[in-house]
Amino acid sequence: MSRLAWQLVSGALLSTAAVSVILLRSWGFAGALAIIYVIWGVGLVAGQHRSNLRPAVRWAARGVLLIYGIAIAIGLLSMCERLYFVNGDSYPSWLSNADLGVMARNEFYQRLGRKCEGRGGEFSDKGNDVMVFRCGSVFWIGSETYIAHLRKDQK
Amino acid sequence: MKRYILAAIRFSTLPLAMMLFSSGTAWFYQSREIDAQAYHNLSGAYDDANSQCQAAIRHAALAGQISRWDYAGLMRDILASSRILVFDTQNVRDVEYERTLLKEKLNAHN
Repeated sequence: MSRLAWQLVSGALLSTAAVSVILLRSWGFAGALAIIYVIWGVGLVAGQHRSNLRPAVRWAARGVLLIYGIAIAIGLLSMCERLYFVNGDSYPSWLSNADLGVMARNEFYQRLGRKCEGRGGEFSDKGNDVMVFRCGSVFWIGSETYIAHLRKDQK
Repeated sequence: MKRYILAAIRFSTLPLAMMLFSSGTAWFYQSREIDAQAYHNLSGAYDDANSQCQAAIRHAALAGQISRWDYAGLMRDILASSRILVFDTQNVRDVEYERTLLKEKLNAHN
């Protein structure tokens, strides 16, 4: 990038942080932006040094890029899983922690409440009396996902 | 050393000028009066707000108008202290009406 482009990008990043502090009247979002900027910066520097003549620098840069690649892949897979959890017509049992079997609807709500107590939970109705519920996080990583089959005569 | 400092100053002049300009614009925007919906939100939240938030709303309304800067702080405090906050978008009228409504509510509680 040219010098002017670097200046414009730096100005835009600084402006975004400053405007967020004033509009939100909080340093919190600017702090999150600062962390994102540092992550971008480290990736940018690593990208520039991936063919460095010094082997130690070259391999360190490649290591950083590998970690970034893995993190991006995990992020994309998490998003795909999230979209499938919310919108899919079914949910694969191998992605879930357990298939809890057949139960009445009120028992389903009770078990959801017990398992997710204090951690937050959500459920997705897959139709055909299949319910999938998740506790702890909206993403697969850091959460527990269970499948339940509602008894047909107790809808 | 002096060469590097001068180069850093030359490089950072444009980014800092951009930041100052955008900050000034945001500051001007935040100093303007809130809209009717915001007054309506404050009126709706006032009854269920705790005494500290109510005092903060009264203090902000002393000047006659509430700025977007004050509103951002007020709503953050109200959201932090309330379990449920209902935003009514259906019964909102113009700014003057909603401002008067809030003043009447504040006077009634004094």
